[in-house]
Amino acid sequence: MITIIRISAIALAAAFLTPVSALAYIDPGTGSYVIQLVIAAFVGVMFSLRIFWKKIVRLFKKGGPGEPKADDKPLAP
Amino acid sequence: MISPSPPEDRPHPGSFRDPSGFLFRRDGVLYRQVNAVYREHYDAFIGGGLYKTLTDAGLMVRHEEVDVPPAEPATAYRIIRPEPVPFISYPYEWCFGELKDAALATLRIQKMALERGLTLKDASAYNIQFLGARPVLIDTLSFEKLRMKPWVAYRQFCQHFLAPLLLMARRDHRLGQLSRVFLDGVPLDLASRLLPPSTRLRPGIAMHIHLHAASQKHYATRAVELKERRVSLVSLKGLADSLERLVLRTEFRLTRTEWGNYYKGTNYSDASFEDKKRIVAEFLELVKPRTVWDLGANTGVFSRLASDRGIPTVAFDIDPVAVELNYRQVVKGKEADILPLVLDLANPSPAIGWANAERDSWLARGPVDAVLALALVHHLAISNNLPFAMVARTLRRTCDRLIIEFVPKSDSQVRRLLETREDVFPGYTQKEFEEEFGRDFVIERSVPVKGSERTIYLMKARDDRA
Repeated sequence: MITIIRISAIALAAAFLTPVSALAYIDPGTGSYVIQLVIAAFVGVMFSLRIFWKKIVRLFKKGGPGEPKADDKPLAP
Repeated sequence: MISPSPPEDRPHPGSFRDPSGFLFRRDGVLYRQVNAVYREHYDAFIGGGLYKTLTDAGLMVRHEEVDVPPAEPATAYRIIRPEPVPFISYPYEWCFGELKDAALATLRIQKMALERGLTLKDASAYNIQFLGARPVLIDTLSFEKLRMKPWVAYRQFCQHFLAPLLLMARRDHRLGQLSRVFLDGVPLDLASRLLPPSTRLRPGIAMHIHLHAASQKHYATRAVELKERRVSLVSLKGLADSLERLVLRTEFRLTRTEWGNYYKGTNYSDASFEDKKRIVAEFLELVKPRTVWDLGANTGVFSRLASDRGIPTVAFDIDPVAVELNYRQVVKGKEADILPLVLDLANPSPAIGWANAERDSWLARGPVDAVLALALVHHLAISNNLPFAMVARTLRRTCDRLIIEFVPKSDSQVRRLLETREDVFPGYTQKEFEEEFGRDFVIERSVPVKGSERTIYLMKARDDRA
């Protein structure tokens, strides 16, 4: 985790302080690999939170008066 | 023959990068050999149901497993025959909307693959083709079993899709042409430099472009030991989701003037316009072409005379805004037979890639049964100084039947072109036009357009000039 934080700090600093030079496409693979680990970890958390949030919202909506619950469906004759 | 086709039973010259298999052509039929090294992944793709899910969703071309001798028996596992795509187009010929829809299709495919324990190992824009308004994946060998590693196609997706889309939307729509120069997509350091500085404050763009480019730069000259790292499924889904949300938010906005200009600005009265449509439709009925290219199609009004008759039609125009408007109409109407593309006829798509053979030139993707060239010849002859003879010679290579409009110098559109340049075109007369085109074509019909000074011709290519 500490490595990831260090990498993201370096990358962040690099992104915002220096213009990117043409050197990057000598071997862009390594940098893409490393940054993806950072980005994927971050967006993964956001993604989980969003799903969690949606579930909560749905729960409240389901509980609301106007919305019929799945269990309320009449049984097939 | 316009350009040499790949030799029989040889791998297609653009199909060598992937060891999983290759395309080859035999007796005019396109096949794909699946190699034994790819067996495990291919079986998981077919057996696990992802193939069915994707084809049912219209996101992937269908194929059939066939029992024909492999092109390279030593490495073969299966031979498949993919459903043919009517016209192969390339990302640098797509308008913004087409590139965006191709990007979204790629991400939807990746999300569906993740649900079934697979992942895309390629996210190349060249793997997407259009069947009408529908972008489909054509490379059946693009998947591999999910091993909880970083998404191997992440960089490719950013270079092939994200960078050109953002550049078109946030800097200038003409930057889509960069894909023609950079075969493996727009380098991210270049995209990072070209994008407006304000994009650094947008989290999605900051991450996937600016940080990504900075990280590439940081590690480009450093020897680092990369340990195998695991990435969780939720992170991989989050990555696809984050890219999808960014692409969805990226819009190509047209100004009100741009919209308006396409509805006026012709010197046709409504009656002449209707007469022109009637003449073109009549010629199409007469010729009954199986394939049509409309050159200088604008927003595709005349292309639709062909495509609405169920004829696969490619509507080319130099103006990306016109192509964008045309594509939006295709999507809205779920039109199946028309494909709008950006093309500068005076400098059409060349053959590019290794040995100039990976991506075909524009001419090599023809000929078609019929070409429409309406309100075009004055642009070529006067704006581009192209002699009639050269226009006729090239059009002869694109089609068997030519439906072409002659616009005389007295026409207000031509007068406008001549306003800002010296009239060095003494040969721009209807007589000269007929004479020069008559060398490459037999003029079968010519009909004046009512209420205008224009004439529409139906011509047939001369066999002796092929």
